[in-house]
Amino acid sequence: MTVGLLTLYLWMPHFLLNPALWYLADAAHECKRVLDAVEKIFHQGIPDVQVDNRLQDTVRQAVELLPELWKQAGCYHEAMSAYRRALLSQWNLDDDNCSRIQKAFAVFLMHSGVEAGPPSLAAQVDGSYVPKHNLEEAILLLMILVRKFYLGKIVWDPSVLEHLTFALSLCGQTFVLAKELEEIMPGVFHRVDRWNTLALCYSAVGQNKAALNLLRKSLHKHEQPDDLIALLLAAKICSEDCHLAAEGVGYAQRAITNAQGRNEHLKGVAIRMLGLCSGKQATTSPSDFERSRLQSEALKLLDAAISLEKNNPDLLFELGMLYAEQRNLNTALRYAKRFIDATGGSLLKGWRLLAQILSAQQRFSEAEVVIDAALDETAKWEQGPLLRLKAKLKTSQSLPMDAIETYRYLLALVQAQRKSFGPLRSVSQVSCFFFHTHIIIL
Amino acid sequence: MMVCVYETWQEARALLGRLEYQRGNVEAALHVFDGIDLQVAIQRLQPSFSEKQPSRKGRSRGDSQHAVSQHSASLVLEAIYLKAKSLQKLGRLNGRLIFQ
Repeated sequence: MTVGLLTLYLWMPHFLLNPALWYLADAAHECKRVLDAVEKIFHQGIPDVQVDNRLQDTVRQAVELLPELWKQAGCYHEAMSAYRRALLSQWNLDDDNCSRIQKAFAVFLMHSGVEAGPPSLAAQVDGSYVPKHNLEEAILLLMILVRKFYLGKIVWDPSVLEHLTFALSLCGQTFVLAKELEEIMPGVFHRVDRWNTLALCYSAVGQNKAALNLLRKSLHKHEQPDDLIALLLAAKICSEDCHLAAEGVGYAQRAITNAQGRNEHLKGVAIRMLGLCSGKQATTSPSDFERSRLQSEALKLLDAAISLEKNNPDLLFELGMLYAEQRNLNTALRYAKRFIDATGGSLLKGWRLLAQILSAQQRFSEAEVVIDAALDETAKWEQGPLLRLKAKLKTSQSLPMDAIETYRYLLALVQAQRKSFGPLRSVSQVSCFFFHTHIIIL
Repeated sequence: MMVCVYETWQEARALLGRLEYQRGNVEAALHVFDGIDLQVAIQRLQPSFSEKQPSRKGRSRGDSQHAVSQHSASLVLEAIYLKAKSLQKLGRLNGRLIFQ
C-alpha cells in the first residue's frame, strides 16, 4: 500500500504536469487499437495475397510506430512488449521494415535500463533459444541484422556495426567481435579502420602478436602512418616485450610528434609509452653504460608524463616498478604507497609491489603486515600470489614451520580451485608443490 | 441500407481527416477522426476476410463485395493510424512549449 502510494506520488506529478505525455500515451493507445483490430480481423496472420497494398502499408507503419510512441510517453515496459509483439507476430513485414524495428529494439535493450526478461512462454517456439539478458538479446538481434546484409536483403547501415562493437566490448567478447569484423566484405568498411579495430580486439584477448602485425600494416607509410591511436596501441604492445621495445620507441616518438591540436590531451600517454619502451629496452641492453642511460631516460620521461597526468594510477605503479628495478627503494616505496591511495587498495598488484619493496629493504615483518592487510582486502579465490609471497617472507625470516603452514593453506586453495575449474596447472600451483617438498626436505 | 450509409459516412470522415492531416491541420484532423467507430468496422469486415474459399456460385458478386469491404477497412484503419500520428505531433508540440 505504502509503496503503491509512493510510486503514485512520484509518478503522478510528472505525468499530470506534462500534457505532452497525455497526448503521447493517447497516441499509443490509438495505435494499439489499429493492431488489435488487425489481429481480430486476421486470426492466422496477414495473408500475402488478397490484401490490398494500402492496408498492408498502414499495418507496417503502425507496427513500427507503436513502440516509438510508448518510448516517447515514457512507458518503457509497454514499449518492450510492443517490440516483442512487432517481431513475433505475423504482420507480413518487409525486410527494411523488420530490420528497422530490430535495430531500434536492440538499441532500446542496451540503453533503456529496463530489464526485459524473456518473452512470454506463449510466444516462444519449441526448442528455440531464449536469451538470458538484455545485452545478449541485443547482440543476437544485431548479428541477425549483419547476416541480413550479407544475404543482400538490406542495405549496409554502419551504425549497426557500431552498436554491435559497443555491445560485444561491453561484455568483453572482443574475440567474437574480431570474427564478425573479419567476415565483413571488402568495400564496406575502410581497411585501415578494420585493421585498427581488429588490433584492439586481439590485444584485449591477449593476442598481442596478431594485433601488432595488423598495426604494422595500418601504420605503413602508404596507409595511415600518423594515426595516433594505432601508434599508441602499437607502442603499448611493444612495451610489454623486451625484444620489441626498440620498435616501440619508434612508434612512441611518432605518437609524441602527432599529439598536437585536437589530440594534445594524449601527449602524456605518448610520453609514458616512450618511457615504458625505454625502460623495457634497458633490460636487454648488452652494456652497463647503455642500460643505466636508458633507465635514467625512462625515469625522466615517466616523470614528465606524470606532470601531465598527475593522478593516473597506472603511471604511479609503473614509476614504482621502474624505481624498484633501479634499486631506488625509498622513491619506489613512495610511489607504491601513492598507487595504493589512488586505487583505494582495490588492486592486488599494488599491495604486492609494496610488500616486495619492503622485503627488498629487509623489512620483512612490515612486509608481512602489508600482505596480511592485502589478504583481508582480497577475495579468497585470488589470494594465491599473496600467499606465495607470504610463505617466501617466512622462509627469509628463517621460520620454516610458519612457511609450511602457509604453503599448506595455499595447497588447499589450489586444490579447491582445481576441483571447481578443472585440471588447470598454473605457475603458482607448480611452485607451491615445489616449495612444500623443498622445505620439508630441509 | 442503413449500414451502407453508415459505412459511406465513416469512409467520408476517414478521407476528410486524411486531407486535414496532410494539410498539417492536426487538431482539425483529430476532430474528424474522433467520430470513427472502429468496433463497428471490425464487426462488418471480419466475415469478409475470414471466409477462406468463397463458393463458386455468385463469385463475381462475392469478390466485388470483398474488394469494397477491404477498401473500407483500409480506410478506417488508416484513419486510426493517422489519429495516433496526429496525437503524437500534438504531444511533441506541447512538449516543446513546456520545455521552452
